[in-house]
Amino acid sequence: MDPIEGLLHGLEVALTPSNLLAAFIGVAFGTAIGVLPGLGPLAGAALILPFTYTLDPAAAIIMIAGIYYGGMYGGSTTSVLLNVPGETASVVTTIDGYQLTKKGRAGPTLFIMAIGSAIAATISITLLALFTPVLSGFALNFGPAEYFAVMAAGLIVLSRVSGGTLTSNIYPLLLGVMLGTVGQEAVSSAYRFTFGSLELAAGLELAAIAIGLFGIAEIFRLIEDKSGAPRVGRVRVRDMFPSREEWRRSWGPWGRGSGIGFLFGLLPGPSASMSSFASYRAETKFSKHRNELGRGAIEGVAGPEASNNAAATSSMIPVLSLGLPFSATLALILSALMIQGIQPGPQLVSQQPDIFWGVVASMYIGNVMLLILNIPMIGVWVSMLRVPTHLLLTAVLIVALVGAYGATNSMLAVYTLIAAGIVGYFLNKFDFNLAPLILGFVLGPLMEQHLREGLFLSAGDLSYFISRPIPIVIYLSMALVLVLVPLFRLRARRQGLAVAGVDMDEVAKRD
Amino acid sequence: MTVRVATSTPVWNKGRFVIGACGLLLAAIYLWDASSLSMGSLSEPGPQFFPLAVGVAFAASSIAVMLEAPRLRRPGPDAELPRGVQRRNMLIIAGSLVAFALALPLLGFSVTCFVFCAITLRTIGAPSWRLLLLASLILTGAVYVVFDAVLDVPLPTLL
Repeated sequence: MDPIEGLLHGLEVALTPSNLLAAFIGVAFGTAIGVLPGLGPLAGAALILPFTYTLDPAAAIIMIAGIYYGGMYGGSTTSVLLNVPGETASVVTTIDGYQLTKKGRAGPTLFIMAIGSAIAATISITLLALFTPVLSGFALNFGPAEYFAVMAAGLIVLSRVSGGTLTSNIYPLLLGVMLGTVGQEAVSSAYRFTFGSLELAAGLELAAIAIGLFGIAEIFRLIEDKSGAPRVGRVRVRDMFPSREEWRRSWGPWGRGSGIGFLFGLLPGPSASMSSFASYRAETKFSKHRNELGRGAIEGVAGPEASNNAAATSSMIPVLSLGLPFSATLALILSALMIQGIQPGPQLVSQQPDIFWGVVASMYIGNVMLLILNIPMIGVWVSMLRVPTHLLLTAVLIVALVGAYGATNSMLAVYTLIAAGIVGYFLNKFDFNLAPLILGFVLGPLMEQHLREGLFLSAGDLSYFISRPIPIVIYLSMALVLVLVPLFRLRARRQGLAVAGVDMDEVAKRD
Repeated sequence: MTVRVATSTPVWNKGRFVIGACGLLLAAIYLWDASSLSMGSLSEPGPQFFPLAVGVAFAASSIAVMLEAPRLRRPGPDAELPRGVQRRNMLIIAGSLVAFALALPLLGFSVTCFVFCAITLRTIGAPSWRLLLLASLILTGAVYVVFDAVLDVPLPTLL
């Protein structure tokens, strides 16, 4: 299928009433969870994951993807209005966004962000539609050695770039891999780490772990937080139109942000957050108005917001073309595919055109919905911030508990959820990153599978894993990144964002 | 440019050390349980092969966390554990989560959910009793409708 044919087919899939509804629920829920401080798209996707088990596969992926990119829109609303980022990819938006609110330009700022997000996402979706089939065609020849190399290198790079010390990422990563080995093992059907429990034989439930780590643990943090409920002003639609000057100054940052975001999305790690920082940094260098940055320049909002949307979209490329996720939210998408009985991998594009092209087309549609949700209907989300915290938190807790139970109809998921919430709270408190835990849990079993297949194929020759050209290239690029990142960081720290009092490490922590 | 003042951060360092120690204990249990699995050979690795490698690596990372804990400096202020009312509230919420899990199979969904909502709302928000009961009732009803009727999740009932 060429891209045009594919898109037309995708539109047919995405425009069915049930899939339109799935996209709408996804983007609306994504915006809502993005607006709520503390809870990000990851918690949203995890909360909704159990509900997608009964949907058809295309609708399930359309919905979860909607939460992911919808969260990028919602997260920035509170950054601008309250100086409180809704999720980590919007932290950098607070710098100029809140200054603009103080100047009385909140409405136009939200408008510029929404338009920029939609433009960036559209560019990124188009590139995704063009590149994914090519990349997946290339990956069709991948054997165990190549897959193992992509996963191992991806996880190691992720651990290096995700902020904090190396152990702050490696420890949770390995903990996740360990949890992933619990249950009946695929090759020999041996029971591993089940301690005699039949329920454990099926393994631990990803949704329960993810909701625990990113939902329950966050709620503990919110309860602990002493600051009271925020006060928000009104945003009226008629005050939202940007001035000619604001329009003119936004095009450059939108373009740069889209490009930066797309590239960052292809790298393993918290790409949406990292790209928003990179975009801000680019504006401090290339913008004509760079002197105003930090004091309420529209460029400081337009660029980062465009880039985090572009990154959220392009980061789906590795999942859709290789079946390998490198951020925790995408790991949930992968697991949704597997629960639906679909083997993720390079054959997805050609063998499941409904899913691939349906999701691509739904993202175009979803971004149009998001424009409507975020410009004419912005008042709805702002008023959501006035709902008393205790009601909101209780509702989230109860939905999490019942959702975890509903995922498997077993109490084991509820126990897992609570344990993950408590462990997540303490890991978070002492600056361990939680996203690697989810990735380890999802990728661990795949690594074991490819490792064992590779050893079997090569009759036990470990050098098999580094004897082919593609793995060698992958490991060399990994080594390059490992050498370059510390240099880049050092430089960034010297001249970079310390000015604005924002620490990259702190930001990347929970993405 | 802001200059970060490196200060000694006892709670944070202690916390990381404890997390490392817990990890080491967990790795020991994991490896002990893995020891009963079959190793296989390098050309045909058994179910023990991968867990053994992962368990050893996790033990090593736990030791690394413990060793570096006293030496690291946290950028920014020290981590704070909740105290006083905050700690009491968090313990109540954690306790009611556990109680929810234990009571659900015994008391069924509606009773458990209602009581859980009432306790949580009271702990975090302390609204008036009337509002509290009303909110709990609405939340329980809404969750029941969404899960049982719309999504077809069979919730445990008392009878």
